[in-house]
This record gives sequence, structure tokens and C-alpha cells, in this order.
Amino acid sequence: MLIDQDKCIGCRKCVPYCTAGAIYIEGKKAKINLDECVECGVCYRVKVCPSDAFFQQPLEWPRSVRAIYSDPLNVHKETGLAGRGTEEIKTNDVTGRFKPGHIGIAIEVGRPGVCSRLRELEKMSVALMKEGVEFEPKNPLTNLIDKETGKLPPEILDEKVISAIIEISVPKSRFLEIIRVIEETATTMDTVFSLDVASCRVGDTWEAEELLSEAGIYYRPNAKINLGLGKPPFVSV
Amino acid sequence: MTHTLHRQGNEESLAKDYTILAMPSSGLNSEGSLPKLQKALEIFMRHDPVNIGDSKGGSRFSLGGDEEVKKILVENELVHAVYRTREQLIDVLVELKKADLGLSVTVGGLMDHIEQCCKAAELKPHTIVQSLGIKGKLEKLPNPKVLEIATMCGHHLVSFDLITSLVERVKKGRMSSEAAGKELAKCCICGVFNPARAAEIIDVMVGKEAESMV
Repeated sequence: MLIDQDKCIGCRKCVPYCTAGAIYIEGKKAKINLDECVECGVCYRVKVCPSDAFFQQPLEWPRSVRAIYSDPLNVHKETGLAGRGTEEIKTNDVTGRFKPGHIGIAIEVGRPGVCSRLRELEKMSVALMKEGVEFEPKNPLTNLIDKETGKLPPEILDEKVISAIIEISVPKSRFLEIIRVIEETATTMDTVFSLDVASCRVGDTWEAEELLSEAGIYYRPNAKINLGLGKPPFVSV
Repeated sequence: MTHTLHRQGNEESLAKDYTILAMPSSGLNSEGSLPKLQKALEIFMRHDPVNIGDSKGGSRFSLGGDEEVKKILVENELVHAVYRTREQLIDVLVELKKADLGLSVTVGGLMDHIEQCCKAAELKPHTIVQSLGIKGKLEKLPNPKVLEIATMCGHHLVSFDLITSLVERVKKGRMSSEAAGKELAKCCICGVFNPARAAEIIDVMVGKEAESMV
């Protein structure tokens, strides 16, 4: 994002709206630190500028990854969805993507609101690739991750995003071991991440919750639940 | 994943914050989904939500009204609404079940409460996502109240600085907490931000709640 310096009246109204703290005032004009800007588009969309000075410059690779993982209006070719993730559990009643006996894990690096260079995310993808876990093929990040090393293309490592999500699936038997790997890798990272786990209802219990409770691992009281109203329902064969 | 998960706050505050979304699955039942999405949105709108929106177009607050949200809906989309009470959520679920749209429906909120609502609406929960919280360099996080507000936009389009700035304006009497909540909601384009809960948190931050209790 850029600010037309001829139009800017230096009113400062835009400054707090920036999700990455990239807008600053210099010489009575608002400017954008392009190294910090994540290309989320908030400053442009909220129309806070009284002189309509914001404009979107063409984004070329590798800078384009900033918008891909920061502006939820971007529709990913891998998912057909706007946003940073996948349909995940939201359509699991129809897709059957998460099956009994397996736990989905999502690691959203940079969330909540701290942002991250993709270099930080790579620490996690490398650690998980070493474990041989299955990365979700429809996740818009997966096709950027080297399938042997877990590394990202070197030219995108310094790109900054609001957040990007690693989505994996593990058999129940490996769930706690992988959670431990994630916790250990967290200590090496210079940002935060939000961690969540997806599982099916088996009988009267949620599979992940049962394992978490047994291991004494904390989980929050709020959750997101698919109600099984989608049609046609997924039927396991 | 999970833009309506990871909302921070205590259980008392989260008990006034329920999100719902309806969507088809791309390539499986997305063809011809537009009228179903419109119907789902109409059902949402009938039960007094504090926000509505869709993932590709905008929200009540970013677009300037509910009819605008409805107008811009397209095929293979995802529609959202936010409610303040379990009673509202049950009414919506009962109506959605009766409508039998075939869209997948996902609800976010306190786990026990959602399960109670499902029981009341005679629905059987299918799959869950649970939050294990925030990990990593936690010293980079802002104060917990700012985080409670910020996490109501799961794409994190509501900046910590804007929250702090509007709280200051409310504190100085230049803006009401309700207006601040709505201003913050403009940044969240898919309509899952709860401006009423944001206003309540801001009241706590500026000490208004404490004053009114004296």
C-alpha cells in the first residue's frame, strides 16, 4: 500500500488503523514503512483518509505473499476460499476430511495480531516435516513448503504477514508427541502463534479433548463446532 | 483456519458472544448455493444479530447495512452472524434445521453452551475445533483487555493501536463505547466482530462499569 504524498493532508487519522504499525508521520505527511506493511488493505478499505490518498501498488512476487496471508479478501487458487485457511471442520460433515482416529492440528503463526516474518513459520514447518506428519494439501501454504525439508522458498523468508497457518493431521497415537514438538519449537520463535486441534465426535466424547484431558493439557472453554447439517453427509466407505 | 476461534476473555464475557456461519463445500455442494446462502442470511437477520457479514464481501459495519451484505452475496460463499444470547442461538438453529438448506453450519462460543443449544435444537454436534491458546513469545502481546477485543476479528484486521486509541477517546468523553465498538467493527470485513461485547470491554477499561456499580 502507498500514500499519495500530494493528496495526504497529514491529519494522522489513518495511523492507528494500521494492523502492522507501519504508518508514520514525517514532514507533516503520512508515510508507510514498506518493510513493516503487511498489505492487509485495512487502511484503504475503511476509508478513514479524508483526501483518499491511499492506493494499492501492483504486488509482485515475493511481496505478493504479504497480501495472500494478510488480506482475507484474497481468494486462494488452492482453496477457492477467501481467507488464510481451508474449509477445515466448517464442512467436515460433507467432506469427511477429519476422520475418527485422526486429529487435525493448526498452528497459526503471527496470530493474534502480532504478525510474523515467514522465517519464523519456517522453524515450525521444518520441525514438523522432520516428524513426517501429513500437511493439509488444500492449505494455501502447503504448496510453498518443501516436502522433504519443510523449508520455504528463501526469497519469501523476510516477508511479513498478519498470520499464516500450518495445517497437519496426525493419528491419535502420535498426537501428544507432536504437541510436544510444537511446544518445544515455540521456544525458538520470535513471534506468537495460536494453536488448535480438530477432532470428531465418537460416542459422547470429542477425541482430542479426551487425549488432552488425560495428558493434563490446557484447552480453552470456547470452541467451534460443526453441527452436521450439511448435505449430502459424508459417508465412510 | 478458525477465524471465529481463539476469542479471549473470561467465561462471563464469552457467554455474550456466539458466532454462526453457514457455507457449502467447494466442488461438493457449492453449485446452486446462492439462494441457500441468501436464505441462511435471512434466517440470521430475523434473530437480531449484533453483526452479520460474508467472507468475500463485507459486514454490516464495513458495508453500511444488512441489505448491502445481502446484495453482494455470491455463489460458494460463507455467511456469518454474531449473537449475544443462547436463546437467540437456539432460535436460529431451530429455524436452520427446519429450513434444511444442506449447507454446513458451524457455531463458535463456550463449548458447554453450544452443546446445550444443540440439544435444545435437537442437533447432533459433528466435529470440533478446540483452542490450546497462544504460544511462543507471549511478551509481544498487548494488555489482555486489548487482546479480548482484537481476537474478535480472527483475521486480525482490528489493530491493537486502534483499540488503544479509541479507548483513550472514550476515556476523554469524546466518543461513546458503543460508537467505538462499531468503529472497530468496520475493520473486520467478514462480520464476526462483536461490537456490543467490545463496548462492554471498553467500559471496563475506562472504569465506567466500576463507576456504575457504585
